[in-house]
Amino acid sequence: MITTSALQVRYGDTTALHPLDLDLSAGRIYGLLGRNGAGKTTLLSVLAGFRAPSAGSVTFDGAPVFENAAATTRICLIRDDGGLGDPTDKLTDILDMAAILRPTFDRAFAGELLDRFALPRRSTLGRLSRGQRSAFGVTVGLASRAALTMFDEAHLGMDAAARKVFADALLADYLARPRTFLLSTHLIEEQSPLFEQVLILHQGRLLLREDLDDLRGRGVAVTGPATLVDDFVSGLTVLAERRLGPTKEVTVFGGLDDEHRRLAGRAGLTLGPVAVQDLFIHLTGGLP
Amino acid sequence: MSRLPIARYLFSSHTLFLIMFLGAFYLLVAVVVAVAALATPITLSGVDVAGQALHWLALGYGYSAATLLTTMIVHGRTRREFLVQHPLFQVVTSAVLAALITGVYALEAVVYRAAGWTRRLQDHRIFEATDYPTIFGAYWSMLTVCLMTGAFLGAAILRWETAGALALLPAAVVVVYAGAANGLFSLPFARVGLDVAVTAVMVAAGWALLWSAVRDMPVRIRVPA
Repeated sequence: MITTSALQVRYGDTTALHPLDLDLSAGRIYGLLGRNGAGKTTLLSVLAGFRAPSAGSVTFDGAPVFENAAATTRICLIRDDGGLGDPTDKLTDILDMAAILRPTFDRAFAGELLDRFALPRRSTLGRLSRGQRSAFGVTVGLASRAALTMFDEAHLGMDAAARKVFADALLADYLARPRTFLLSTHLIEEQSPLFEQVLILHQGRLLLREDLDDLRGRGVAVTGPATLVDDFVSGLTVLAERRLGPTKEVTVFGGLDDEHRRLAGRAGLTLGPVAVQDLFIHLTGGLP
Repeated sequence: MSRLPIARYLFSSHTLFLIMFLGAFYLLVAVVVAVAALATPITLSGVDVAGQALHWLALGYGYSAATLLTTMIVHGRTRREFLVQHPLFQVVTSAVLAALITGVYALEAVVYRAAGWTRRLQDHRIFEATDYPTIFGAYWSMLTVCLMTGAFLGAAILRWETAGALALLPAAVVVVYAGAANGLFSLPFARVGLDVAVTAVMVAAGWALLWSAVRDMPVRIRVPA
């Protein structure tokens, strides 16, 4: 579907994206994680043709993306910073414009989403709150029905209910019309259940690319009485700790061998899946 | 699906908006002239005097094209498409507006005659009050050049930010030289009379400048707080 080859982006003397080879196949939901300044927005921008690569290439089904309408009309990037229309434009007018500009845009579906997000149709873009603007961005992104749809922190300012509507709508539409989504987010725990595969960018480089289940397998959450848990994790790499009264949950990096699993069973400790956020923080250098 | 989606969008919304704006503009001119007639004898063409504001309005409207380009890219279109279809919109819409303005000159002639008012145009105009083909040509030339130059200025400042202000220099050359040809931005030292070739060259120069600013411009988006 979309492929980068030795893709590099520089801003003056600063390298935002080091040479990157990436191939994202069709029909999957990818999560793009990274700390602030990791290069996520730069990567998404260059994938969408919002900017030209400094070096290397981006191709979509074999054709270059930058300045190629056959590719860019099949790619949709919704960023948290707008650009969907003029602030004085009415929402319905922007949707009508999108329907003219993008061959796959589903105007009727966009109308449904406006209602689901309870967005005022006759309002202008500039009169929307931050969260409503994000919901409108999500509406345009989902209704684009683009073969590759990317959301870059598109949920900013949305309340929990609106974020739930977003997740439900995305999943339902993905199942009805399978295509590729790439979601960049800092709400890792909330959005990671949507991901099939996770990409972690760190300091402009691809640090990790794994299926979500495999990533979760990189760690274990150990829960039980505090003293027993502390004894059990002694010598292991601890990523995070949470305590509630006498009970403690410790996230451990790395899989447990059979001996440790037997020990945990004998001690009555519970072993569970790890929080992706804890793994992410560990993999990207720990807490500041 | 249209082969010219950007132009199709612009014709269906922006051209209509500009026609309505121009209608409201001349309605205001009519009101001002009517009120002035209560206090003083009318000797000047109100439409012609008001025409002095149009090149500034056209420049300002053209300036907004850079923001429009960002929107077009966000909705999947390319800079190359924009560089073809926005100028097409400029040329066609300028012609429509110039025809409307010419019609207003004709309407004003009838009204002034009926009211017994004197109707004098500004001295530097290259057309007479009833020379409608030249009025049309001059306004078409002025509007096209100003829309194109405004678009270049907007793109340059969006792309190069503060340094983009340097774009004022080539933009001024284009507007003043073209203005010398259409008489609508005329300076005493530069007056050549309506010249289609000069207009065409200045529009082409404006397009070349716009191309230089836009062809690989990264999308930068600013959102109101």
